[in-house]
Amino acid sequence: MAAEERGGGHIPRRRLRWRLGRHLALLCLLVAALALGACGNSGTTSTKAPVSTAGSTAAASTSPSTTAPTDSSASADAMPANIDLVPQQDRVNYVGYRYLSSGMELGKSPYANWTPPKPPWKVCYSAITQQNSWHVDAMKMFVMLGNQLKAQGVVSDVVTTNSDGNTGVQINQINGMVSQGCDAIAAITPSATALCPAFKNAFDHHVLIFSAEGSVDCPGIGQAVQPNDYIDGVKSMEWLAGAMGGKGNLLMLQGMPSYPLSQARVAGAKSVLARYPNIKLQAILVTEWNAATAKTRLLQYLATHPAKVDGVWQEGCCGDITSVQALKQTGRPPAVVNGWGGSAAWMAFWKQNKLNSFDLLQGGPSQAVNYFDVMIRMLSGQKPKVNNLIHTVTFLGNNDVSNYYQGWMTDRSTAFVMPPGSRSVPSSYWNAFFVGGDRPLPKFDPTKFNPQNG
Amino acid sequence: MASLHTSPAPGVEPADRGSQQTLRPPANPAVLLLRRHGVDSVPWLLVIALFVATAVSLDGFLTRPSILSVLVISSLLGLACVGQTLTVMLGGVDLSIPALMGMGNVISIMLAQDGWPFIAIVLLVGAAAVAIGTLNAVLSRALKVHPLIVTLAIGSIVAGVVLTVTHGASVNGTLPEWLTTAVSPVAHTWFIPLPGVLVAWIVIGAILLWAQRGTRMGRLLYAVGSNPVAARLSLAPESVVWIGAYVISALIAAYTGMLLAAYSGAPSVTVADPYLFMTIAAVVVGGTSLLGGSGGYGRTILGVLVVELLTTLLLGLGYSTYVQGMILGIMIVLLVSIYGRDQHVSRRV
Repeated sequence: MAAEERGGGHIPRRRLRWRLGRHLALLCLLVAALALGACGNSGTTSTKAPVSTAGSTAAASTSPSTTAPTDSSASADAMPANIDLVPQQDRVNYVGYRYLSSGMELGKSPYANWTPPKPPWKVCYSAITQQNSWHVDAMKMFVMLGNQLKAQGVVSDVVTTNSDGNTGVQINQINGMVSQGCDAIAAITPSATALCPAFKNAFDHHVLIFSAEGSVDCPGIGQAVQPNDYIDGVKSMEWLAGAMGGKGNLLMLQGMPSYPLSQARVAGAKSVLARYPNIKLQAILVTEWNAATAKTRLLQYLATHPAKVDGVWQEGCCGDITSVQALKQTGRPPAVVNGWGGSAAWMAFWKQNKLNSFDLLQGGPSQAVNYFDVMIRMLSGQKPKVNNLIHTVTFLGNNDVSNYYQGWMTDRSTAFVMPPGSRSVPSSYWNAFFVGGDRPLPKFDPTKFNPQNG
Repeated sequence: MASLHTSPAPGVEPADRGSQQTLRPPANPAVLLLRRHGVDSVPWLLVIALFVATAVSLDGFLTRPSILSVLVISSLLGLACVGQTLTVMLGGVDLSIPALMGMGNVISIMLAQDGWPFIAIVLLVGAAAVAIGTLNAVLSRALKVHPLIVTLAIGSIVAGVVLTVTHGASVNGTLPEWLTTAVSPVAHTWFIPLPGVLVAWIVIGAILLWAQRGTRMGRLLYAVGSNPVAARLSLAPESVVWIGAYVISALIAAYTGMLLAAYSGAPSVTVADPYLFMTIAAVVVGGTSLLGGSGGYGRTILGVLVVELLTTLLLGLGYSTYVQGMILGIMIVLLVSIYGRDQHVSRRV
């Protein structure tokens, strides 16, 4: 046996077949590698849309604003059915709804006739993860606001859970919240339909439950509160296109192409590109919302594309500082880069390097104020007019940096810049979305939240 | 004991691979290389083929910043692969590497925020890594549970502890500028015209290549990985070897995490998640057997270059991330079908 293993002059047929097989496999690999090398650039895209300058004026905007884009020519901007349920002045915030809805049709709120329990209320918050500062700070803000009302005797208890990305666990946690007497639940949903069984259970037990930060496609029982990521994409790209002078090579960094909110952001940005035929979209790189992946993809792209990059559009987590550094570290000239989400790191970097940039304030803490505000309104007896409550956020330009930058911010900060009043939108924004929306509410103060320490 | 003497030398194919004198001598040099060196030549050929394909098909790749960019990316993966290689050579695996990297990443920035001197940060992160690496090894040995389970659990615990310590949010520190420079492709390291991370990879790689064959510890690594029973009977300090491998793995992972903080610019405990797949992929593509007892860091270096050159080529050609993952997966399956058919060293005699 040993002699056979060590090999003599005779090669068994089985071994010969094996060797030939593996050499064939190797050959296939080499051919594949060479064939790929010979292939053309199949993934590069460019915009060839008709010329229009309608959006270029947005670049001049440098003041905080919560207005939606004025241009709605693209078909994607078409308003959804039943838009008449939305207060007229706020309909502009439903632009691009089909990218936000995840199949959730706009309609009357399932809680339009809901009778809330009497205070004190047990308010609950179901998180999908606590592995990043956005989610951690959002929960902290919710708990802080709940404790403020607890001190007033309006809230009896604040309950939070974290499912660590496990949908089954989250369903059980929500069912547990219903069992232990939660009166209202805000749930960060992993998908539009995954939590429908839990939503139905809560609804059947007359517990208020709504999806925070995204749509939920649970017909007849779904209620949502979310920002308009499509508009965020439009506004950021309008600024970027203007900053690029309406021409040049553009790189887009997308977080997760399979996520609806990521799709909405890119769709909004691309709708603007249609008006800038001289901006060539070189590539869309996927960052997976991971800083190391973003940097690696950028370096690999820059290593294989010598053409100048004039602008980088990115949609959150890690694409901003990473882009500037990757260009610098590969000896490339700087490009204009937008911020996203209001990270304190980008604010510090923006200020320190005197960049020309743009940002939108959509951090976890300020978003959580919306969930809490809507929850308290409904527990107080206000009746929502529509099943999907959509809002916009605060946008920042160069002139705002000095107002929003604080000394504790560094280019490694994981905290968030807070918008005025620590709210994405003033509480009064929601008045028109509710029957009885102008009735007084229990007082809570989100400005007590310390973004530096949570 | 017998297996220690009769097993082929580390990284060397069994003697039967040389028994091809009855076949017609091939004219093609690549095939000749294959005949002479068997599967050892596969990663070499892949690196060369991918480099040529990238250089030919993508304008501007043959420039200093471009090549250094790929080498910086490779350096980080290569450093992360050190521990994976050592533990795989033992017949184990280390799935806690991404968590260790995340720990080094977040804790270093958090301590910098609190005003700790950098040297103290390095020492503390190192001490934590040594403790975790020891725990990985000791638990695997004491409980007689495969390290796949133990390191996965320890990794999860480490990530949880980091999130608890940092409260998951609000890390606002900053690292020394030189650390950021060290991961910049166009940077120099003193008089050496290469970025610091690449120099570190070269130095650590050279030490490992020497140590795995030129030191007792290195030879013990192969002995224990080849046949734990025989190694035990020959009084090889099996537990010491395990602890040594896992401690080195944890240490280098944690320090690579600190480099990653400078590289990526955003502290996060999950920042190294992609390295779980990538480290195993690079080790497998390089040809180190997951069964242990063969291979080595030299092969992993080639595996790292193959993985990074392939993804760079595909990205350069405009293929989506999904296609990249698919092709990388196909390549791993093909290569495993080539390498993986070898019997474990302990069963060759």
